[in-house]
Amino acid sequence: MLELDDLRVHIGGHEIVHIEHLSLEPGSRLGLVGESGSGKTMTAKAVAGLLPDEARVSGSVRFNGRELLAMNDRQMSEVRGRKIGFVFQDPARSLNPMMRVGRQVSEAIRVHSELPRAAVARKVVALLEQVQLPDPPTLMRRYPHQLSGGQQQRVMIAAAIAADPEFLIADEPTTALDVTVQEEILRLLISLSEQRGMGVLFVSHDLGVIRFVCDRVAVIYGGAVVETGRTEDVIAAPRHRYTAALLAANPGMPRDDNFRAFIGQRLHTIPGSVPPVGTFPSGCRFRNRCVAASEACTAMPGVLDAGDGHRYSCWNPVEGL
Amino acid sequence: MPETAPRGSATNAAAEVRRDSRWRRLRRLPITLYLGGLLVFLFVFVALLSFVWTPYPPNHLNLRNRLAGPGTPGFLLGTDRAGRDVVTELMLGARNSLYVSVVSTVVAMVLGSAIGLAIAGSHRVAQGPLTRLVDAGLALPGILIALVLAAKLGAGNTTATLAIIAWQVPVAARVTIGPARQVLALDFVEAAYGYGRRKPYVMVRHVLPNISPLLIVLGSVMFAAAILIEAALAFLGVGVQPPTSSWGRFLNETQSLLEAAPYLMFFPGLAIVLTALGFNLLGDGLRTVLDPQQARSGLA
Repeated sequence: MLELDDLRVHIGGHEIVHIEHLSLEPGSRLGLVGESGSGKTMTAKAVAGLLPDEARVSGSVRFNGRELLAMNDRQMSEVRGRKIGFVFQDPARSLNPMMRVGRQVSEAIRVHSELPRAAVARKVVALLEQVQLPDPPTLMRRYPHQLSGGQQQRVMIAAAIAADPEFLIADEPTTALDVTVQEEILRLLISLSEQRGMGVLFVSHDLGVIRFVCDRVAVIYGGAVVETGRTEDVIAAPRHRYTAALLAANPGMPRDDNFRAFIGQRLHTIPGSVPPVGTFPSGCRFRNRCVAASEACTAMPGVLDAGDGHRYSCWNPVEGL
Repeated sequence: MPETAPRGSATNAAAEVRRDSRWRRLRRLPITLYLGGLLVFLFVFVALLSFVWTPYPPNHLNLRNRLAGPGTPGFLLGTDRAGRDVVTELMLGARNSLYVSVVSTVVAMVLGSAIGLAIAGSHRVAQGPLTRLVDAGLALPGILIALVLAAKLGAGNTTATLAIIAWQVPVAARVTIGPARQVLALDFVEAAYGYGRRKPYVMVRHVLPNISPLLIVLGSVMFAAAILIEAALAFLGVGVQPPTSSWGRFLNETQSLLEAAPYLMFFPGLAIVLTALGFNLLGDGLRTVLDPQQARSGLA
């Protein structure tokens, strides 16, 4: 059980993340979705304690009742890998170019266990098999640049699950990959999550991907959760204007589990862009880009409940179907 | 050209292409690498050879053949004022030069890069002042350090070695800090933290290998500097003392013979120049080969 409460991240005097509440049940998959600069990656890194030195974090991140934010570096490194695995955005840059692939995975195993050398080697092979890489004994002697992008990400995932973590944070794990490979990696993440009962915090800007992977979704704008609920509910009946705009801007919102491009149609866009940190408007942070903004939006909207855990913060929500 | 190569079986052709590309790869290596490598090899070879063979035993005086000119039978490059064979002197000088420069460069590299890595990995707030401290170390004139040390410890190889180390440690540290910080900012470092590794391990296993090409080049250039400094200190009389032979001291002795044997100064002078040049060329060639951009194309 992973619980975030009143989590705030400050960098350079600006509050870039403020999450009121977010929780992730064991074995479930939660999507964090938002545009670039919305604070989703910062939220994920705050949970794993991977924020840069200059970041100030306050609030609470609890893992099975233990407060992660109160931990020192040594305690936190015990949590990382063993309790919470982390898969990064760009696999080509997340593997050390001077280190053989097998070595990078075995390194992740040996952080948290004192297995003898031969047992580690067997486990590396088993892990590479689990992430469905061909011919592990040969592959583990390769260097990262000899692998394709998809293979590299599989290696990263193998390293992330090497110490059998209970949760996996995946920060846009398929953004750097092409679409066909993307689907394979997503299916792999889903099956690993189901086999191991491993919870996944999945960060993405793509609602289609989120829908494919996650049971629940939290839409983030300006560092705050504006709408959350079961993925099906949020996508079928978005309440927050930002969620609705994001959905409208998605070309290939798949009606089934396949990814299909919609050719020849004009894409809906959200006017403007995410304002630079520190220049968000008062009240609802989205109001300067919102089609339905009104006088009321200058005040902070409260959290409203649409039933079934579907919550949103909007003064002029999209009305039900 | 592979197209015009005689046709053989498929495997033969493949082997042919492989050999061909290997040969072309060797030819693509910079000329400085070969030239520098050759000079350095000669230097090391001569220095090592001096342990088992020199034309005359060390400090063997041929009193009847003092200041013999080059080409005198039995003395290829002639003899010095005391009748010592110049070739023998140069070989023994190479030995001393190699000894001092190896010891000082290895120690300075290890110490310096360790300090550089530690500073690069230190807390953001401490990094600035620590780097300035290294800069202050860089500003200290090396000859001054040597003279102070000589006053304290007396002249000799130990003094020269210590002086070179004190001189070179800040250099190695300063050169290490920047690239180490660059590597620390890369994604795979964060990934290592992500599966639970901590900073000291990351510094040694991830950062160090990724800056090793730079350290190899640096080591080669520092070798050249060490040889020059050793010769300079011996020349000034702070370095190795008689009867041990040294290029620097040999050069100093030829000063007083400017009129009697003006050619004599060229021998130790050339030896110093060629050796320092060799290490510098080697460093330059290595830099070209180990450059990350080229390394990716398969050269390194």
